Amino acid sequence: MHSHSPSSSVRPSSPVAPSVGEQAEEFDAPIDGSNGRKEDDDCTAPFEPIVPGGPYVEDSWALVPYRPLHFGWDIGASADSPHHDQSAEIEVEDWKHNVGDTSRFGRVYHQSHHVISPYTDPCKKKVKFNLTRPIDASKERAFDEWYRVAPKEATMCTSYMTVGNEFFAELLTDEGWLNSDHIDPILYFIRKRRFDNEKMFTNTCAILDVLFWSSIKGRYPIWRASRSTYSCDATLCNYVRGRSPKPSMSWQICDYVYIPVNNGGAHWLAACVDLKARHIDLYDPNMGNKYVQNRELKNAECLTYMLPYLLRDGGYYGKNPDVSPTLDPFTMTMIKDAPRQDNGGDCGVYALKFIEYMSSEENPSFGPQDIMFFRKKYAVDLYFNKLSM
Amino acid sequence: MGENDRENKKRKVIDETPTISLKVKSQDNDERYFRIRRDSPLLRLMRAYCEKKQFEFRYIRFFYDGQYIRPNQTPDSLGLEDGAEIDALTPQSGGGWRSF
Repeated sequence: MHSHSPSSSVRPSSPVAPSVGEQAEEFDAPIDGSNGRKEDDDCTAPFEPIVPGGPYVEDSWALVPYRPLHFGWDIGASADSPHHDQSAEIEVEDWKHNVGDTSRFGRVYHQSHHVISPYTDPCKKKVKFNLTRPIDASKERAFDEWYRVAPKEATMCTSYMTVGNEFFAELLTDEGWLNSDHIDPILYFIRKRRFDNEKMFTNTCAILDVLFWSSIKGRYPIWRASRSTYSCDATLCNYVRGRSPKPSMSWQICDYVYIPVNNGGAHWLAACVDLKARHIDLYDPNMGNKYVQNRELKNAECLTYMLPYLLRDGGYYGKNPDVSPTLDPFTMTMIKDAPRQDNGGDCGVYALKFIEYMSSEENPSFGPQDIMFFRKKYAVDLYFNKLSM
Repeated sequence: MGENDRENKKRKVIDETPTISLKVKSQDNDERYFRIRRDSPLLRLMRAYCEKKQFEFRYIRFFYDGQYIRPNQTPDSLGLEDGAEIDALTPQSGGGWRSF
């Protein structure tokens, strides 16, 4: 045990962990310095750093006044994350200093030999796009902790819409049905990820939302009644011009357009529109017999008829004079070898994943065993307001 | 005289606060027009629309330019202009069915 004796020549340390008897003495002792301790040596005094090479003082850490640990970064960038996360890179950029600057210790920053080396490409992205990457453990832990104790009325404010606790409950239920409140935010975040990491994608595509499908479906009877005089309204034309949904781009520079398709409030499909070839691929996660296939094709046929009118009214042919604005309907086929669901509730996740895979130029290759993982991943990503790469 | 003053004051207040007219469009192209102050939350417009159309409020979503509108947003915060169009959407659900 170190001494608290008045005759101690070294800097007296703060009264931490003395024996019980000594503690009682300390409290009984008057504060006027009769026990030999100077008054300015209490814990509230400003901390003087120990000079290296000076006299070694035992328990010198106890002189440090209490300061809360300050971590400015978010939890996703923590060191125990299983992969290099994108959010960590953004954090690192903030600490950047230029070569030649003088540091606060008086030394000059030199360029790292990794950067000078011709064998490494500093511009190369370290994060590779991987749709089946495991969920970041720290993010998952943080979400679990919130979700476990969150009351039923708790709401999460994502950048798209405010979602309640039941949103996550429905999303995380096995075979839970998804509604447009799930589809729309997730599609928004898929769009946003594409928009934020433009260089990672070579194709150009537009990912639409449920509002587009409902608008097409709702206006289809009107179109049928007056197809010669029909002209699309601003809601629909804004999609072609790239004004909505945000963030989006004009269809003139798009190759493909992906649309979530709903059938009768009971089933989700994904439609992939090839604008140049005037063709629609319909991805049905629950493809049954011929009767069911015809039912789905019948449901989605409004797209084939309405899209030519929409392209004409939205000004798609404005800068492409070579393409004649024909009003012939698009062709549509059902994709036969797409993954299929094995239960009666997962088709929303399948439709989302079809769009996500196709928009990132990958073949939809997942199975029913992955769906629970995808659900969890969407929930964690929505909690952190950003889809992981 | 006092009543007249009060009316004048009311009119003055109404005239001073800028209002805009908004068009709310449902999916079957049914259009309703609403007048709303620039600084009042759009929750009032949403409630009025649902009352007119006899919908339940929590089953309707409102979009402007494909952007989800929160009830506490105002025309000013959204940057709505006079005659702007708002889309009303009934949320749709789906899970698939056992057809085999």
